[in-house]
Amino acid sequence: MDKNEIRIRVKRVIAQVLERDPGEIADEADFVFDLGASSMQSIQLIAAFDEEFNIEMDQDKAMEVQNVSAAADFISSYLA
Amino acid sequence: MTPRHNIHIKNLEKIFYPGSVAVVGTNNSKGTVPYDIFFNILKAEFTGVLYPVSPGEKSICSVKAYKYIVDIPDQVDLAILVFPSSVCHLALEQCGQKGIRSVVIISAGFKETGEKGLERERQLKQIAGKYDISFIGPNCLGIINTDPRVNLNASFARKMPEEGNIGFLSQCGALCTAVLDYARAKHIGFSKFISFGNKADISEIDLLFYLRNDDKTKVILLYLEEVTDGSGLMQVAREIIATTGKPILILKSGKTTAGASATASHTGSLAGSDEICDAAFRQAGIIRCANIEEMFNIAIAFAYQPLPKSNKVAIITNAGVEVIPGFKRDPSFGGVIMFGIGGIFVELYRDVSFRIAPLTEADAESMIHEIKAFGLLDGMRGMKKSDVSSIKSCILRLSQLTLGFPRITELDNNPLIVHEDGKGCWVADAKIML
Repeated sequence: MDKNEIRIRVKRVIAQVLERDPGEIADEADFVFDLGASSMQSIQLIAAFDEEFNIEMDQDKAMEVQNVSAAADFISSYLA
Repeated sequence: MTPRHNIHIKNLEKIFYPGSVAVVGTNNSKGTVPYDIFFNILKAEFTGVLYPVSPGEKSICSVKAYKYIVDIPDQVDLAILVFPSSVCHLALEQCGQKGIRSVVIISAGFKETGEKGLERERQLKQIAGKYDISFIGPNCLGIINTDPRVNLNASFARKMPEEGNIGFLSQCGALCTAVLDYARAKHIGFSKFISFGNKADISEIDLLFYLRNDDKTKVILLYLEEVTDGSGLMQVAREIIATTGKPILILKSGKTTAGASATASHTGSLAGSDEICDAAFRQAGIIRCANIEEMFNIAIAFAYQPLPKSNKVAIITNAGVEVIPGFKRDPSFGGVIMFGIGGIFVELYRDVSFRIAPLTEADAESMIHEIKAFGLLDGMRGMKKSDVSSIKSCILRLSQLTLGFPRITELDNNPLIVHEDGKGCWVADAKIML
């Protein structure tokens, strides 16, 4: 799976969890500062990414990921 | 005194008297700090304009929300940051771009959490320096100004305290809530109420300077966990006391070993040597208090009484013996009458006698004679005899009260001050529970 496809799927998951239009989610958008994710929604996002990509991310490290682009990179490291 | 002190003094005016406030990072989750801060400002009927900044919401409490602070079309005097610590620097940077110079950072997750948090705090200071921003916090409860010209409760303390002339500064947010509860119960009012948390930028010294010139503040109370600039604190205290006569009372944690350990875990800083603090405070004219109750007792005296013109003070007290008659309604026995030595000694000495109502004159008399301290009433060592018959009369009346008023469950006359024989007695304080 190439990075572009991962990024598109990441945005789709974010849009579902945070109830946003995928078109308004920029690559560098910060989950909290730009998208308004609460701490609960951050945990929901990790669970949703795990399910979408059939992976099991390290929760502590995943919580440190702050933006869309970094999330795609982090997820791709599990798919390599 | 820091080089930024003059900038702080200028910016502090907008912190306490803003024409407009933005709560940055608020949301619609009731019961959370980001929501409560916004709601409390609204509920206290802030006299200026209030803006919610929330990237995830269209409105907060029916007020239109902005995604970023830079999106607000009007001037903003004060920003209250409630974002998680990971993005506070982004919000502060935007405050700088927007031209906001006065900020309160409520968010926790900085110096108090370790090295990573300390780095975040350094980042905030760097941004503040770049834009000449002054900020209170981070890791604080917020600020309150009861002055009706603003009515500002920018804190997560749910109820606005009453207006008064005590300025309160605290490094510890948890203590603030305890103090507010204590003050509310006793109707003690505040002029300014300030929680300054990690004091990463504005310190207690800057705030003391501000309160020196605040005409609403007559007495200053300060709770400190650490003294980082002892000589600066002494200097400002001396100046305030000398130039304005405003008394400064201090409660400093770390007096005991356990207290020192608590402060180290709470703020990431070690408590200073207690003996040195004692000496420094005394030299600077600061009154050190042992606990909250003592602090407020002294503060009330200063706030409501004029200062004496000289150091000649006469203490007037009541003559007589202090005793306590009272009763309690026992579920099995009914009214139980108690008599003993009263005032503050009643719980210490437990020198009391009991009888079940109704009482006869002989019962009442024997209750009085039964206590170990009867000699105090009977004229021991040259003292005048007390009016024991008036005590007897009081005890018999209490006995009647237990029978005539079953709704009264407990009653204390403490103290009942008994004068010399033939001159009666009177109740100085009474408590009746229904």
